Amino acid sequence: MADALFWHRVQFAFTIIYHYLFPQLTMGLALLLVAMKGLALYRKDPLWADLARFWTRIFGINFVVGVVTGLPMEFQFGTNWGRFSQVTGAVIGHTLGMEGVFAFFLESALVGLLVFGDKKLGPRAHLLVAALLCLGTWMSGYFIICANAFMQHPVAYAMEASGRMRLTSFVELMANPWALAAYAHNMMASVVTASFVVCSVSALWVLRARHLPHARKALKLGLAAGLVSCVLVAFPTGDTQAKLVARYQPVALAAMEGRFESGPQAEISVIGQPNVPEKRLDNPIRIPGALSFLAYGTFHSDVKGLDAFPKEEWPTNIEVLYYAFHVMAGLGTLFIGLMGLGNLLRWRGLLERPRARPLLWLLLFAFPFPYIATTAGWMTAELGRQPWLVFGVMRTADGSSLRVHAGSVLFTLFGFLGLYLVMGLLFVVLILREVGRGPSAHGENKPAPHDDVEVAHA
Amino acid sequence: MPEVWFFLVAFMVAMYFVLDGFDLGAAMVRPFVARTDEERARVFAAIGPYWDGNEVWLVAAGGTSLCVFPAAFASVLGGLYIPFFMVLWGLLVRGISIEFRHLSHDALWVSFWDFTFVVSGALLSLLFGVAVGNLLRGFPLGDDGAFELDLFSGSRPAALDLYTLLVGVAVTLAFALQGAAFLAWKTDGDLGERSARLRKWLTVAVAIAFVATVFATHRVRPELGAAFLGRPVGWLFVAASLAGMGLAFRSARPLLGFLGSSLVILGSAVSLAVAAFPVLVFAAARPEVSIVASGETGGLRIALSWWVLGMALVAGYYVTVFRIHRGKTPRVPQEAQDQVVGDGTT
Repeated sequence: MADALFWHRVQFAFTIIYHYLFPQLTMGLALLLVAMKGLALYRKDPLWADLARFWTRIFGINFVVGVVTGLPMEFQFGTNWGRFSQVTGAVIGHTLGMEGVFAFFLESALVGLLVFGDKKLGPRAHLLVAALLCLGTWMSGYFIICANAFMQHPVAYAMEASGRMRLTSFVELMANPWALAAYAHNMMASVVTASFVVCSVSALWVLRARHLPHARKALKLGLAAGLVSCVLVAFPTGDTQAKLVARYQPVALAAMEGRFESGPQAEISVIGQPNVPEKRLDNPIRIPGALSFLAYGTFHSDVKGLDAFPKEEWPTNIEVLYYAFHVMAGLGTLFIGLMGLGNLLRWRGLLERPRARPLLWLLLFAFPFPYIATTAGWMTAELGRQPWLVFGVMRTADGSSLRVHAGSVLFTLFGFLGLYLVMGLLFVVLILREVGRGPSAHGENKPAPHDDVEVAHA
Repeated sequence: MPEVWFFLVAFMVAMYFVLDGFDLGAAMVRPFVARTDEERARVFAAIGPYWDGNEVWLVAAGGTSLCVFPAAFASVLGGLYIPFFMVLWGLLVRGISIEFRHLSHDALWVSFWDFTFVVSGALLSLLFGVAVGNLLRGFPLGDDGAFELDLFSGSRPAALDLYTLLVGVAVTLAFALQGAAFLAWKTDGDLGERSARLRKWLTVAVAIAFVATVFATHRVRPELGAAFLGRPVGWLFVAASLAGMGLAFRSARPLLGFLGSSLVILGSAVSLAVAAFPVLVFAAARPEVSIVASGETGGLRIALSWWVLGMALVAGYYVTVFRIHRGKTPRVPQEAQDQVVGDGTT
């Protein structure tokens, strides 16, 4: 039984981490596409139109992989987490049902029009399609975060005699304070991802001295959106999220920071290795008072350490949780620096000087790091929630499907590993191919045979 | 309120069968109706604008079931664990087949996705039918509302056995009919004509398979038929299904043929729901532990309010998308494909 639980968790973690690599770009890029299409329309600038077309093709490929990897997620609630579904379904089912009915139908109706409907619809209608599609993807994000927020901070439910939950207030469920904060934080992070991806591709073009007029414009947008979103991820959204964790999951906060002892003037450890058996942080470099400030807004507040909680309430994997949080926070800080520097150089017109090339190289290779940071952020949230499936209400061990044994779960996990490996390789090949073609391959000066084919496909 | 939801969930599943049925069906009949590269590309172009939205019916039905009938949702998905992942993988392969195929015009690339498209379409149709067969026959449900079922077994009932495979074949044929009817409606020329001819023959095959399924179902779960006969409203849906068969067989107008074929699926699915009502998950050996439609009224009422609003929007999207792509699917220009190959290699 314990075995099966472990593999249930591995499969869910793997499939959701892999899945979320795609929607974060979808959601962030949808917003940047609206900006590009808007600029193309209102500045009557064909360069922006080319860029919008180029990034729409990337968006289309990314969207498909997001859709097909998203399918198993909802159904795994039933296949692998049957008891969790039975207990909470009448509450979180609302958010998942609404996601399908309101977000997915909207997105599916629009994505074909976005990718193939350029010529058919005209620029204004096409901008509207992009804006509505962006709305759809961002709604989808909210519904999912709402479901997760219920697991982090359950609200709006009552336990019935049957042991199942009943929804007590729809508004309360949808306005869960945890959901609002996590949503803002998460959406800003997806704009960070999209900005870094746009910057990376544009930096490649500048470094290779190809598509320069396009690359300059895209870089300007990517850097600006990147700086704004990087700052917003940290403050106020990340800050609010940290305060909620301190308030509702103090034990998770203690584990995230590797804080074993309670006390005032709590420090943040910039680096260090959590030594759980010895209950201490090895080789720490600390900023005194910073954790007190982060959690409660003053430098001297008491912050509880793990010693304040019974061991059976400690997160089950403190080491990974600690690193996940530090990777996220550390990368987030570096991102602000990189984007700040990039904007400064661009503003001074120095980006294309030979001496600025190292920065372009940095931008080129920086794109994986937002993916790592968002993954680490989600791991922080989900590992911090352990050992609870629904925080304080239902333990993870009580949520898995009763009659599905480890052998079955491993079978399907291997299936996913294989399929996702092949699909990931194909995805990379297809994206690189588009990046190699660049934005002007279908531009003004060339006839665009490919577009005709695609309209026919639409 | 749970009674209403029983039929709304059945409706969503039936709509999924009707709509994704034509995508899966188009995949299965494609080897028979599309003979040239252009015709093969046109089959993809015909379903291209619709398949993703059609698939959402399954996702939406899943999320809604989790909300309104969580016990049944967990029981069926956990019990049919491996077959269900096969469905998910099939959907994954089908989705990328459609969307990756046109990204390159390399002959090997295209033929690979052509193959996976057809195979995943056939496999999914069969599995959806097998799932229907399992639901009709019932499960070895325990007191905990869960069950285990072998994937296949020589002697005992299993997820895949003669009965469920028979239902699987019937549903596969019905989806193939739906695909042929759709292509007959949305394409012209040789492709459209071959599809129209195939639609006729598939109607006959579906009629035979459905009759066989009715008899077989009567053997594995006799009380289902008895319950159905006591519910005259169900007869209406059977009549609708029969009328649909008539249209699919005879009508010279392709749109009517498609509507007829859709009516076959919708009518049969709803009549099955009428027969099974109110049992969601039938416990074959101990009917008293079956999971029936039930639930707390307050939550179900809230779900109904967002569901109705959502469905109104969905109807709007479908009208819009079908209007934008009204008429026959345009031909895919061959010379354009060649140019793109050159373009891609520069």
